[in-house]
Amino acid sequence: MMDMSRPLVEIQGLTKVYNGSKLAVNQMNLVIPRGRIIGLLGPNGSGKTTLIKMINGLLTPTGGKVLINGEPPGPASKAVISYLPERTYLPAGMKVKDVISFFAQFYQDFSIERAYNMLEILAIPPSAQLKTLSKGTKEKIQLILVMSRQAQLYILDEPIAGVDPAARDYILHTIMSNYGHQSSILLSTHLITDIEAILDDVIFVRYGQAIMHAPAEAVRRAHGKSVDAYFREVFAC
Amino acid sequence: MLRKLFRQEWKSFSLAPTIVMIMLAVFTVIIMTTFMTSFWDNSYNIFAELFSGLIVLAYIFTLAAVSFCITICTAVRFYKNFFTDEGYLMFTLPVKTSELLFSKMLVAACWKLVSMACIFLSILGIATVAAAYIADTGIVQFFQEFFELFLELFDAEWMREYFAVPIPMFLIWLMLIAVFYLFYDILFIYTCICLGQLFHKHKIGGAIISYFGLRFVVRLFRQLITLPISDIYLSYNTKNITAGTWILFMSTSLLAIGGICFAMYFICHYIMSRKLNLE
Repeated sequence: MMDMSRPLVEIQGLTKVYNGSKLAVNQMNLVIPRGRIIGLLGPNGSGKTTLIKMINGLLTPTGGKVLINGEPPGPASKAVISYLPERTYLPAGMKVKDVISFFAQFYQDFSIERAYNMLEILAIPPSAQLKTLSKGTKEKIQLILVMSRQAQLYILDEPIAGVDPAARDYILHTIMSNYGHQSSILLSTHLITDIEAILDDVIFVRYGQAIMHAPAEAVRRAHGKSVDAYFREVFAC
Repeated sequence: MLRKLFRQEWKSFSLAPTIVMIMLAVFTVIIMTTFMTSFWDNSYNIFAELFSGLIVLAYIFTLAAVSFCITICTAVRFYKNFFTDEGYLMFTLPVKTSELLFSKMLVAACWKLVSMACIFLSILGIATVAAAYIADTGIVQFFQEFFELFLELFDAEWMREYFAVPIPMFLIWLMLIAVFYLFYDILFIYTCICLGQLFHKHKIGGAIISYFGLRFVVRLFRQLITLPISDIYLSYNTKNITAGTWILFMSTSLLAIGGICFAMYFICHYIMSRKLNLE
């Protein structure tokens, strides 16, 4: 029986060193609670994607641990995390409907109806082969797959960077309207202005460490400026 | 989950091998047809000679392509599906690492068996028809006589003289060895690719280096483990080998190949679950 009083994700002393010398995540301690939309913000190379990949079990930590519902990454955690990577990862030879069928087979919380509804709204033909579609369209499909699940944690790595501004509003609307309010969303992006309005909490990451984790409103009140403006001030070159 | 993974893997793996098998079937039928018609009686015709030469060449290339195709598909599918961008899809599925590995192994093994069966049937078909043509007998009659001769081999006195163990035991050993070697080839490829992932840069180069390194280690291990029963390898006259030695030889070779297969499986499992670094 899952302990719902326990934080969704606990990160304790997490470290990742690449190639024996490049420190990407440095003794990070973090807690991701349930039912919050959290912005994971930081400059390029600050360790955001590395952290996200370790939560998803795609990278092996050099030290420390990450727990999801009290367990290390594994089949149980992957069943409750819906992850959108920053790259296109779907096999190019598959058709859109095949990918939807694939997700429906492996994820019990996947809604085929919701996926097809979103495809229709975005005018993406289900019989199209992925290799014939543009990069932006493939990213939209990946987002549809992620948001068609009733996951406990949605991890979105740069969900709006590669899409046109017109579609960004739809994507943010999709995120807000499709996630369950007991679920959490961890959103990593550089486009802070676009997402600031939907964020409950913000985490600032620099040199592989979480230097701030606070409610977005508290940051605005404390510093008298938007999160975006404060971010630019903290990470000024 | 294993069944679902197997089904998905079968769909993705099967296109190239199916095309090559169809080509093999087409060339087999063409060559068999030439023996069943009077084609070879007109062999002094230059066009017939050219055509026959091209067909035989194409057939030989297709036979080679069948084996290479399965090996290449095994390697490419494993690498592409796990260690490129597609790995972000596969390693975030709510399945165990063992299920990911087994689904790939089983599909590759099935296709290896299919390819071996197709090659065997193709050669048998052509050989039967060709031999019947040369012997100037009917195909059915020729096949019956050949099959009876084949069965007599197992009942011959000389078999009992040269193999001190019962033939059924020997055949069971042969089948088990064949099954292990089926998975050995596949796991060898997987292990080299997994070991290549441990290199910081040039992971494909690392896999190639691992191929030579692993070959050396496996050969050394097999030499050491089979040293006590090397009589069977060194002696061409197996009449003097006792049943005890035969049993020792069969069990040692089974343990050796089985042990190597399990070791390679565990290496792959360990790297994929504890040393995964998808970049």
